[in-house]
Amino acid sequence: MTDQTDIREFLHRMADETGFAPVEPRPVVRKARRRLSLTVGGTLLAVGALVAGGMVGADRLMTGTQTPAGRGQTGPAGSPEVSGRPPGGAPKVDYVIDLNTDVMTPLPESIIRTAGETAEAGWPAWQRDACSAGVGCADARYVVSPDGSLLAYVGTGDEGTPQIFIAGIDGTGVRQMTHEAIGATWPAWSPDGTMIAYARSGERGSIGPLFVLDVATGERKQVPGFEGDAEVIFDGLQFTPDRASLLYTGHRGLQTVSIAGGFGGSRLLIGPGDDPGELGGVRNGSLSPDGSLVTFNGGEFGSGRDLQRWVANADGTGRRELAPCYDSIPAGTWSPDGSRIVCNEDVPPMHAILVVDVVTGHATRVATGRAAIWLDDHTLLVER
Amino acid sequence: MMTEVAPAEESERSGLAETYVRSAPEAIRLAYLLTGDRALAEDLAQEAFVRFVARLHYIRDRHAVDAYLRRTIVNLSRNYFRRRALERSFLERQAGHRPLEHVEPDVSTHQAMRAALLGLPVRQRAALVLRYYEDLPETQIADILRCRPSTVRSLVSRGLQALRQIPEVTR
Repeated sequence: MTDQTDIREFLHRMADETGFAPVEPRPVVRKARRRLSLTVGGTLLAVGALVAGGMVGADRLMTGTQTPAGRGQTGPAGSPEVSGRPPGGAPKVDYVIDLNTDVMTPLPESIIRTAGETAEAGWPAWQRDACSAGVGCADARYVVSPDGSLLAYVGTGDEGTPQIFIAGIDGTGVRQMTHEAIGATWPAWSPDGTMIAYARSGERGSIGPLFVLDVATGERKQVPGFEGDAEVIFDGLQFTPDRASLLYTGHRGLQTVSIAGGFGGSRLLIGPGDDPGELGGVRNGSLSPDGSLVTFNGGEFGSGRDLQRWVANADGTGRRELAPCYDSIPAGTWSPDGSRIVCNEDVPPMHAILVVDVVTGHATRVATGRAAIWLDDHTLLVER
Repeated sequence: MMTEVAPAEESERSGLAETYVRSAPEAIRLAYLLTGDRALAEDLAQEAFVRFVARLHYIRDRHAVDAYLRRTIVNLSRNYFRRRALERSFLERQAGHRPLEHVEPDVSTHQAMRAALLGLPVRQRAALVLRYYEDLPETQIADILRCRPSTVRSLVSRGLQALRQIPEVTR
């Protein structure tokens, strides 16, 4: 199975197992199917789908969906402006950029060699296709320790599977920290720099359980109360500033789970709603350094817009829209001074990195890459 | 006592029968992709059609059968798996042991793919099927799954990623 055409073929073959023939011949190539859908047999299906869409979400269909602003364009009507062009000449590998000078420096070779970047060469066509469509494909998922001296990231372990590594920011002391059977992902440093939380990868792409790893001893402890969830929509981990809990995206919304467990160990921070003005698909949350604010993605029903980024008080009140971000690495989203966030814009194939002022909502394209984290208040580490 | 059927009613019934005959195969094929169980697929398709008929008077465009059935089948499948998970969880608690590991069939690529697809979380599976079998655009899938198009992209990506982890798939 190498590409999306194969998946189409497989699904049609599997559907044939019912013994019921399709109403119309189903070509496997999307463009061909679109042409056929204009024939009499396909018209009812196509029109029916559009009309039914209107019945249940007329407001969204009438206004359509808008993609985020492209290069040199401003954001969609009603959302804060996105401006600027990322500087050219970015390295072909993960790099550090100084926002004051635009000087870009490749990460040390010892880190590049072990980081997830190297795995991409073996990706099948459909995966590359998904990434070119802007789907979160950051795979090294770097996070920097609170004192700025160490990186934790997902790399290719001795076993050939994704594992958690740490290394000095200068590339010294590269060390594989996990040896999980299927793999490990989404590292996050504790605020005191003594622990790294991560998620163990499960079979068939599932996530969990979560573990907390003592950096000094390598000893790991499972986070109670989170054994994995088939419905979890997982896009990163972040310690809460008090070090007591981990923030993640579950199927209910932004949730925290206590690393110590116990009664009330799991808490819903911001949940979705289905009514106009409420949010759907709340995800990719990140708490500000002092824990007072949270930024996240979520589409406001009735807004007609696909992609919306918000900042709100940590309890969900006072929600304000920011410039559109597709994704970010939760543990590296906020600048250390809490005034800005960094995220990636969903405009393939450029994949600009945005820095967004949390007060004004104004966003600037500062670099090119799939994801970025703050190293300090004027330096970003960018994953290519 | 025989009830007389008015011509208009009779025409409506005949239209519904025709609609059922036309829509049922596709509805069953979709339900089968979501559940992997032929008998269950037929039940869900029938249940979806019954619901459609019950709501006929509330549906503004009666030609929107396929879309309504598609949405209902996805919802019924999700409810089915949710209920089954609850039942399984209850039984496991009663039995006082953890669930047995799921064993993948070690056969052809098709069967491995089939097992992998049916092993995906319901939302991921539905997103993949609606995207690559029904060829629906993200906005319509989002409408059916009651999420945002960006979430659909994420679900599709994660579904594909999970399928990629099957050795027969990546070979």
